[in-house]
Amino acid sequence: MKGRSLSLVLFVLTAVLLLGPVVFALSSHNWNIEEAVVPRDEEMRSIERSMMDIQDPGNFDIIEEDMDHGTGSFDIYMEFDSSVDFDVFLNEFRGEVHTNGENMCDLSLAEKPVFFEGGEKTSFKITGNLDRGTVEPNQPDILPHGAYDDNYNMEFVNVSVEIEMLGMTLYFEGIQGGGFV
Amino acid sequence: MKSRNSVDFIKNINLPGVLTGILMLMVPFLGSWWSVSFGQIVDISLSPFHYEVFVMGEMVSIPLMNYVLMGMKALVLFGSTALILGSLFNSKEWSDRLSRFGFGKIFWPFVFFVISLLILTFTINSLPEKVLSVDEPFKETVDADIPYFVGTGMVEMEMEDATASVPIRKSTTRAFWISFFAISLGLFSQKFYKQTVGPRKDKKGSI
Repeated sequence: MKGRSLSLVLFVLTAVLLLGPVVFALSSHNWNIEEAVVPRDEEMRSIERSMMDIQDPGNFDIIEEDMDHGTGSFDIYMEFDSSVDFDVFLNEFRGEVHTNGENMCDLSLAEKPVFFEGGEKTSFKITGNLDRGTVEPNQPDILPHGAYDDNYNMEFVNVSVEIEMLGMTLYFEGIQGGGFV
Repeated sequence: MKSRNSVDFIKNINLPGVLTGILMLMVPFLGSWWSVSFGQIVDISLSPFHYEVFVMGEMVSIPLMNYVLMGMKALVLFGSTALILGSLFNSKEWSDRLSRFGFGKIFWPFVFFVISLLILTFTINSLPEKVLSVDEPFKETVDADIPYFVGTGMVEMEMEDATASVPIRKSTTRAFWISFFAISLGLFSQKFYKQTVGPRKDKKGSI
């Protein structure tokens, strides 16, 4: 009899400690299951904000361009202004610039990977070489100013970008687009 | 006579049981047992008494879980007290019942925890690629290679011209191994010690 009473007491205590918190949680959230299970609005909003940061981690600007008219090789100095608090690595950037449907030059990173520190401005360089058969190398200001000129009908073709951030790697391939920036 | 009783009392103590009980008192406060991270995007740490979820560095809490885990902590503390009492008064008729009850409060959550994680991973890994992938609004395929309990793996998502690779890392913590040790010691005290080393009870329940 004693044993049975002890078992009963232990069973009831277990049930109370397991079910009690559930009942208490629901009662303190107006018996609204959704309110008791779903994280608070502020938490969800800050996650949404962070997700937006992944999609738009900052802005790119062209700072300066340097072209060797003799050889046709050029450098484009760019700056990335990070608007997020995490670091981003640009592991790869390759592409072709086409004018009037013809490949004018290939672009690539001068040094890789490029490390963009979170919340900071980082400069980096893209290099390329004009295809002499397509464009006269001594033509002044073909890049990047010439890129804005609609007459050239310029577009980026076969652009590949590899970005590493927050431990994940994003790879984009075959991106195309008109305009230089 | 009194000193003989004291000697008998000490001789009858189930020492491994007492040690298990002491370890059980600590376990709920040692933090999570196991953690999984998806890159630095999602970080989840779990145990039957504790959880932490970080999404993009932002902590996420589920109100109901906070209450339930508080109850679990209270239950294991109560269980460890029962196990210590049952192990100290090993010769008493009620000691077995109390010890079994107390030990169960760490044993079953441990077993349930490990098995549910294994089942969850098995289910995700067994899902055909078709289930994880979508065709609308654009074609997206997901290929998951998730380690069962500890280890590293990768989830790869392909969308049109883009690929996202997210590494997965699962690991156990020191708290998990302390709990595992407590459970092993508890099993020893419940099964082996009582039958071979500890006091034997006759049919009337006395030593």
